[in-house]
Amino acid sequence: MKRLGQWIIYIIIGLLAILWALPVILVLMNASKSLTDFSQGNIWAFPTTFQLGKNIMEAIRMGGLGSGLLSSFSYGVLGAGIAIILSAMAAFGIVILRLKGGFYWFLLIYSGTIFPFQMYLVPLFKGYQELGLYDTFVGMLLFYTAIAIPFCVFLLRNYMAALPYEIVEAAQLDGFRSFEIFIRIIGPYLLPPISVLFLFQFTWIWNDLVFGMTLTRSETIRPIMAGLATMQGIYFRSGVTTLLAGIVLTSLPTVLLFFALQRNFIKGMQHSVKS
Amino acid sequence: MIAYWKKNGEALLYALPAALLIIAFFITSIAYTIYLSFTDYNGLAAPKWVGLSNYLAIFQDATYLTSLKNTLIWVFASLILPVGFGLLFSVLLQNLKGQRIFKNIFYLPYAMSLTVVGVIWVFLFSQTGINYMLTLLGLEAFTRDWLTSPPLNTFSMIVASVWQGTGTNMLLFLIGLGALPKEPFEAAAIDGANRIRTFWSVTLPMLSPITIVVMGMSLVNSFKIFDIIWVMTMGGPYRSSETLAVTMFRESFVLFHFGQGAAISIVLTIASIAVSWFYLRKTIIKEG
Repeated sequence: MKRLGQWIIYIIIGLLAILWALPVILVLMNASKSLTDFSQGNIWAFPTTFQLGKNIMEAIRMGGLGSGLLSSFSYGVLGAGIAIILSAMAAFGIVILRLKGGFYWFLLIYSGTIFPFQMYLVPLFKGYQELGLYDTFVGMLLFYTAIAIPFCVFLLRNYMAALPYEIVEAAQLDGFRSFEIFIRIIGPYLLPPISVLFLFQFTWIWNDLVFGMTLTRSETIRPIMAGLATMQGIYFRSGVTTLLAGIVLTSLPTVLLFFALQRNFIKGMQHSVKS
Repeated sequence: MIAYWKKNGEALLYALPAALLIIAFFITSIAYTIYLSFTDYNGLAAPKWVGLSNYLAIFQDATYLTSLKNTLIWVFASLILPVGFGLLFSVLLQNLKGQRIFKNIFYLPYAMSLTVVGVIWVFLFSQTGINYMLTLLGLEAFTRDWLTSPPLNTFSMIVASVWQGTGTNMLLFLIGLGALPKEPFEAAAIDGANRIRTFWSVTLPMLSPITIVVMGMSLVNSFKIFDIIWVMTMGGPYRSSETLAVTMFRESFVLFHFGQGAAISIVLTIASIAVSWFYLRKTIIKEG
């Protein structure tokens, strides 16, 4: 009886898994076809040609995804990195140096996550035009840094509050200055949450569409997802296989990051659920 | 003021860069959007005060009412489907051999961006996609214009969003299930309760704290749904599949009705904060 129950579960979950994997399999199959192969058949037919690499190169060159990849990679690494440093400093000031009214400073920073992004689009668009930041690398980097800060502060503040305060007091008695405490005493403890945050924020920046569309125009500045959305409009009729290869290419970094660092991801989720 | 600075200057210096960025980018933006929502600003002429008329239009104009209705459909569907599927998957997978493989398959779509997911499903909903397979299987009667006939297009896009979002809910439920105490389950087994009975009377009640969190997250995100719609239908045809977030974007950046767009952002903000209040209360107030 119990055996039978197990089998039924395997059958149900197996069918669901096939259903869930099917879109990805179809994308991979069709991203590998040549355009003639694709247009002669249908999306369910097995490829008779195999040219995923060639299609990806095509997407990079013709679709203009190459510069988008480079831009988004820079935005992701630098934006997440700077945001984490600034957030760690803020959390350090609030929690470890016991900033008076620190909770209100925290609320001020955290309020950035409460409002829908639609609240920011028009003012940023207008402000960026006024200040000459519209369609610039620095402008995009500044924005991505700012948008990543609230969640980083949220997590790092919780994390620092849980550290034993004696280590700070001991360091103060030893004559450490605050900056030394930040770098040498607290810093090493922060590596686990920082790796999680980096993952989350890099992924968020990589996947952003709406701010990329709003704050940029030229191909060299435009982040990858906004570039992909533009490419979709042009390529859906004439070059589906190239478009699908573009999808494979742009998903690769976040998918690989996730599976390589799966443990940290789940730990991060546990952390944010608990708090 | 001076006393505060003397005592806290050093700590403040650490907090200031982050705080200033937030103020410059987001707090001022919020203030400016609130102001714009009471004006007729079109990007060219100076903004003129129009009182509440932008707000009233949201509840009178047919386009905006469709957008409101679609948003409610999205919110309702997101509350039930990805959460329900996530729970189902996690319960089926709990203590199952080979859990890891299945977990990865269900999670995979979440590791992709909503833009990518949108493109994938446009491809699947195209004529050589799902419709072709239906015809092949002799189910020609079920072929549809998945993305061009309202209100079906909204539901088609919800399918795409469920496919993407279920995996992360499943992971959260699995974490929750792993943290449950064993005794009640042993007691239920001794009492001879079967799996389904155990699920309804033991698992589900004990999981309710995490269910609330998962539903809250799903809710907050569904209000702001934008990427998938923009990629799949751009809110069309004839603005039939817009949600508030899409309407806001079109009003602002396609039609240059910045005032109207701002009013829609405010309504969106009020709605999402009001409805997610119970969820926010859990995360913020508890700490204060």
